Amino acid sequence: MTEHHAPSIRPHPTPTDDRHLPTPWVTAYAEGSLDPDLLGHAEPHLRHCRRCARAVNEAVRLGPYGARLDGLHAALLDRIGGPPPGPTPSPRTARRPPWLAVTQGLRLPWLVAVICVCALGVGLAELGDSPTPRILLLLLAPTLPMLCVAGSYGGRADPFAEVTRTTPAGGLRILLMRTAQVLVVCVPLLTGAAALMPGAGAHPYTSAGWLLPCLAVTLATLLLSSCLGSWTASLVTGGGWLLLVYVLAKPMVKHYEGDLSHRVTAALTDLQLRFVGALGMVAFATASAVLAELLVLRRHAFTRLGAR
Amino acid sequence: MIRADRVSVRRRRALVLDGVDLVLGPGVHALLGPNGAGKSTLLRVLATAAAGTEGTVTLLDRDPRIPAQRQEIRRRLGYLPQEFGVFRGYTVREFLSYAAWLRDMPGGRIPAAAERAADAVGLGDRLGHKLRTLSGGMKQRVGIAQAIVNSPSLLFLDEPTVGLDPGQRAGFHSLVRELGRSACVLVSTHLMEDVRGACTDVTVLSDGRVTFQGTLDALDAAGGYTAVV
Repeated sequence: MTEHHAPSIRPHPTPTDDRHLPTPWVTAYAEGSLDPDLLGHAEPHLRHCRRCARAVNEAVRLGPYGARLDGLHAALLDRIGGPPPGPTPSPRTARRPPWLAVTQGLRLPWLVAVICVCALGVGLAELGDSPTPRILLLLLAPTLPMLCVAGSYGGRADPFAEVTRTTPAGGLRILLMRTAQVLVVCVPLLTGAAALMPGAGAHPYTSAGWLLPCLAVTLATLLLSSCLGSWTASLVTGGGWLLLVYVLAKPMVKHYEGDLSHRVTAALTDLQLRFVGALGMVAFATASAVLAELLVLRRHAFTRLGAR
Repeated sequence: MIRADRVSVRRRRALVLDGVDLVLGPGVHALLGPNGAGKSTLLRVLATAAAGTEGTVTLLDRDPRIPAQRQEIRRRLGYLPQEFGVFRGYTVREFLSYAAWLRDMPGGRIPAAAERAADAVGLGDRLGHKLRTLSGGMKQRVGIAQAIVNSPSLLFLDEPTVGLDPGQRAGFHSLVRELGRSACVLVSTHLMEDVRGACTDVTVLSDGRVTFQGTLDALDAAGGYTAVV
């Protein structure tokens, strides 16, 4: 609702009657430019009226002489032994370091969702003694951390984002800290869950085999989020990762015999083994290195004017 | 301190700001205008939260389009948007410390700066309170405190007195007058009371254009706010 008060030329701050000096007189007096004829009326009044005297003081502080007075004040204080003691910080300092607040937005529901995915996978695998849930978890795992980051901080999830984007820490630095925090939570949970699942003779390293793909997907998402925003970027890379798995696994399905679910499981297990094999590791490591380099090159895009 | 040359902002097809020219030095400057005049958009552009479609902005003699200079500007900038959220589980002290950290303040100076900012808005006794327990007016004061925690040279406040009672508004006026002695403070407001209480001059925006710029006396002489809109 717009509220407009009628214009008033009464003395500052909030005059109510005609017994005080008009504002133009006060301003002119503070600047030393009041007409000599009016000066004769103004000065006797100022000697007796505290309100108008305060208004003149205020006008001097706000006027062209204010800065010079500040300078004189500071110089005087320097000469007589430094500035007056400011408010002393209380002995109770912040319990948490301020940078830790960048992770404040991590939403509990996302943490619960990752725990549920892990628990469900372990539960299903234990019930059916089948390698399928483990394989599915390992193939989905690389996309989960970035979805957590986007869901917790992307879009409108960070209530303070409008201010954060106008600060020097608001770019890649804060995004990397948040990603690191989500990875610290997700990596042990997902790796532990995969290790707990029955592998049916799977390679012992496969429970950690998703880590390099996860690094590559995470870096790709960070890189994309410099131009798309974190939600869109994580959906694009998540979808891209699943598409890659589909494209790579599809020709392998034909090489196996039995019903479709067995063939799919066998093909995905084969794909997993290739991921943790020398060639797969080199491919993901090279992709990660390239993506990391590109991310460094694009770092200023995160702080650009109007960045999301 | 602030110089805007022919700044225009186009959103979809609508022209939100249309060739705004602005030169502001130290002091408290009011930004007036009806709803939808482009006040918040102008503040967002000046606070480096958004880019102009056309024109150039110079802040503290630096160009915000150049990354290194942009970071220097942002270290010395305070911004209170019209709508802002807080981390509800944090205390006032923790939130203000976070705001100071975001603006690259050295760690050793953060605790004292957070207390000084809280004292300035009258929340010195609430430093340990969780933000979720504060009233709307107190949250607004926390918003003002986070904007001034780094003693900024440029301060942009979008409707800062919304939710404040008359006493708190008077306190706010004296606070920004004090800040305006060395910093450039730009306050977007709907209340002439804010303008008369705190501001040295007025810029009036209407339909994305500057329709008046000058002192309050000059605005009165021009027939008042309604005449220039």
